[in-house]
Amino acid sequence: MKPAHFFLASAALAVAVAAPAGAQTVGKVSAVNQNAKGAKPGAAARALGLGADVSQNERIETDAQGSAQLGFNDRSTMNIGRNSSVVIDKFVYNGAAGSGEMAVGLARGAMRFVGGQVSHTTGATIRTNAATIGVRGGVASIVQGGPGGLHVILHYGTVTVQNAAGRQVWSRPGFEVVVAGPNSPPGAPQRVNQGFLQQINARLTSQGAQHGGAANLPTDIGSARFGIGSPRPETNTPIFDLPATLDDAARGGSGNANTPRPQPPVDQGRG
Amino acid sequence: MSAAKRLSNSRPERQASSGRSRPLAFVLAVLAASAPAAAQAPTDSLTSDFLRIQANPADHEASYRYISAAVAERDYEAAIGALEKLILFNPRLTRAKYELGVLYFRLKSYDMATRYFEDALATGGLEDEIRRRIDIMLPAARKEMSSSRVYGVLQAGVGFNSNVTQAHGFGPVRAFGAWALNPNAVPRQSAATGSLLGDITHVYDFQTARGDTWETRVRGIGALPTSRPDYTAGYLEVSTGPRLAISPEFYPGATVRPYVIGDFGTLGAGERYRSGGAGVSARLPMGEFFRLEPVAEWRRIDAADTTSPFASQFIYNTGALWTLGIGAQWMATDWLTLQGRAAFVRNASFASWASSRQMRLEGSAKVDFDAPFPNVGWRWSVTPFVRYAAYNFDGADPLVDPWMARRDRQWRAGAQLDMPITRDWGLSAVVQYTRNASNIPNFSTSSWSGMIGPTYRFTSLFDRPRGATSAGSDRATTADWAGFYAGLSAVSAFGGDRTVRTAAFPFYENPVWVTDEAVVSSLLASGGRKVGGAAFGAGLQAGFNRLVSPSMLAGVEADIQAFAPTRRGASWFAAAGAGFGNTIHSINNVTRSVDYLATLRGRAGFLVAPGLLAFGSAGVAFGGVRAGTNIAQLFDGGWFQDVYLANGRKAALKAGWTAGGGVEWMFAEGWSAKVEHLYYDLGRASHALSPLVNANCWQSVCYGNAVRASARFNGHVVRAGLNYHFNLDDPPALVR
Repeated sequence: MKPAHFFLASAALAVAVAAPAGAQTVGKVSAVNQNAKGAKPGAAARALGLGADVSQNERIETDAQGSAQLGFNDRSTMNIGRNSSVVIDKFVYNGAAGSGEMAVGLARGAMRFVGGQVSHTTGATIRTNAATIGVRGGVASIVQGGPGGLHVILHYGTVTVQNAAGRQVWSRPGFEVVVAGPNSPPGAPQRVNQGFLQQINARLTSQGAQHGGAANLPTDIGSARFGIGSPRPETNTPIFDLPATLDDAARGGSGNANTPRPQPPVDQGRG
Repeated sequence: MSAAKRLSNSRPERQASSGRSRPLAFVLAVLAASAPAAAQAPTDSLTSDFLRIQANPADHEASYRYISAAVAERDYEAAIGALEKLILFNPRLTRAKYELGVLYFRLKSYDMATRYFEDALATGGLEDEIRRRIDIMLPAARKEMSSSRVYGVLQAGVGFNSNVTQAHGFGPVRAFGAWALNPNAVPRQSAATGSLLGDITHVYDFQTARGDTWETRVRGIGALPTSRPDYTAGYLEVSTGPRLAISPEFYPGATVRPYVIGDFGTLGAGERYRSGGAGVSARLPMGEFFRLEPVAEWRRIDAADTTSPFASQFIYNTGALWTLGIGAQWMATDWLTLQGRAAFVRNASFASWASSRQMRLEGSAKVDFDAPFPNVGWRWSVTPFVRYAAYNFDGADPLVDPWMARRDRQWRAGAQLDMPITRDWGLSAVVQYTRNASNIPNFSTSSWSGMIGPTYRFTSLFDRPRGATSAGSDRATTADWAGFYAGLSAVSAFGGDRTVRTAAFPFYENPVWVTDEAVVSSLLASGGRKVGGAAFGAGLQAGFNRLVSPSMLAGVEADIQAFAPTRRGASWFAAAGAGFGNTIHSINNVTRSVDYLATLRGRAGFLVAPGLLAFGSAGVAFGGVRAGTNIAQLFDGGWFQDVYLANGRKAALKAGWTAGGGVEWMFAEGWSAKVEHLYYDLGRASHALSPLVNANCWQSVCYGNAVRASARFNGHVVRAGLNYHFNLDDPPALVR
């Protein structure tokens, strides 16, 4: 994302966000399947509605059917899976500087964080029972209570997993770290199991007849009008130029005959 | 670039006007290349659509626009977040799933790409064109997750070359510093050509979070001009070496690759040259879309003919070949990739007129555009390229022009059109013009060439994902030594009996002449000289270890190494009277070299510490050996001279034995460095020379000698190597 956009975005947001008082709004509920509840600090839990404000220190909980996506003001997004509990510990975003601070607690369940401006500059922190996760840039999925404990799956960027017993840093997409508990060192990064990833994706999106709270649905035809799904794969073409060495060695091929170099002296007749 | 398949994201539906005219727009693109990277205008729509979506997340039009603009500006994360929201709203969106697969692919998140492509296929109801694209993309994504992957293209082509002989023609040339006409000149000749081309890279992925791989690249070209089969050209190059992450934590994406490289070229039926050596290159990303690739390389080149002082002058001559270069790649937009390279090449050969310095500059601009046929799943590309090279020779060649050192300025320009059609098959065409302007007209040439033919692309080969081997602990343990390992070595060979001996025996003496000219000739031709100097080279080794006790290890190892000797010949001069005031002078020249050595050895080792192994080994050795002898004698009769020659050579594969020992240190998990000494003895090889006959005695033969020469091939080898240990005791879990 280009800094220039953020300048514009932040200027616009400053206007948009300045008005409401009370709990500071850090983003919106951009999709929600019930039951999903939000509890603002000092207030009772209420059902989350599409487009509802999300505040700092708000706790969001989903049940066995519920899931949601939060869209933050820095354009990062967070998908919250079924049977999950997330607290927005802190979200500060200075649009003009393009920086801020983001800290989220995942008490249980699964989430996917897709980075925005804050995670690209200062990084985002996700707190769990077993370890604290730092995401720089990036996209990561975090699951509590998977096989072996906490799973941190990196999809893009650099992730640090740290607890009292150890630390792992890696940046290869498709690799995950499993942490058994707060007193166990994070395991070495290894390739994530595709079947497990499929389960996580299913947990983070709608199922059955769920539609994320939308009344009318987006369509393939609508997507196509804006070019979504149009990219075609591109080749990686080597130029079949002669490699330099052969090219140079082959040159002067005629120089052999063209360049008059004398032959070895031939025998002269004796006497 | 070879290993990293990149995908583009042209959006013709949005930008129909520019989409079709892109092939023509590449000139503009090249101009735009000189503009700074920040030339992309910020779109207000991205910001306003973001605010619109925040106000009303179900404003789908705003979401589509936002995704579209974010992809165009390569802010893939913003697009991914919004696309995943659309799928929450409607889980049956196949275009959004395909787009998510493509975006995750671009972020190198091949597991997520695979998930979304498979998810799109499972959803059903796909448009044909989406299905065709997934048919290309899904195997590509799976391939990226497998341990062993092959990339590359094979092409067959028919074409045309306006000057297959690369000839200057019949114009005046320089000889001995004067103008001359050369009636024996090779004419310029055009020809239809048939070609076969291949560029294949194999990547072995160690499946670690560091992302280390072992890359082996093979490139080959064969070109047959139909009317001049004597100008058939062939080329084959192989390079191999690990690609290692420099610092995944602090500089993700940066890699360094030490490698060994060997190649050979043929022209007509004969070998034109071959070379071998080693180098190190690095890949240094600067931001997401720009990277630098410096390289330093050393090779020993053996050019045919040029060891003889009567050779013609090629650009590269037998000797050392140093290259220092830097390449840059900039993915300027989603449809334009600019590449540039600058290199300095030094060829230090046997004489100043054969040694040169070269500056080379190359640039290309790859322009991707959508194939004009909707049922082609791929994008096509056109790549104009240009190259300039300046060659300056160290000194003047007295036989050409003793007052002027050769200076060539070479231009090459052309374009390649790549048209993949099905997932694996396509068509490619290239046209280029080459012009070499030299201050010595003998070397000035120009040619046009073009080629078109079918291509086969390894898109779907080896697309089975393999599970990861689980990484072990940080510290080396004795168990880490067990199992298979492989690596490469730098090698020095020296010592041994390097003397080539010659022995001549008179078989005929003309009875008319009473002196013992034959005996004098034979004595002068007999003797021996030591061919001094060490040889340097590079090699590969692979082996298997078994722990027989906690600190004892037994195994087998095979290796092969190629050498370039610093000196391959020696000569001596002798003269003696032959009666009647006549003198015979003899110039004797011998050559000896071991070109490559392969061994198969048993190995026994003791672990001095868990990470330090001392070992001894013994086994059989095989070597490619060469020896040759030239004898030139001059019979000086005062008022007449006769010159007569004898020569012979032998090249053989010899078998013998070898033994030695060394130490090996496991400095990181899976990686060890070693130093090792071996003595080898391949025995002797002898060869006969053509008869050494002076045949100018009043139309009869004066005398004749039979000459044989022999050489011993033994010596010492010291190797410094790097090994990678495959931890096969952790069985990989199949993940699909």
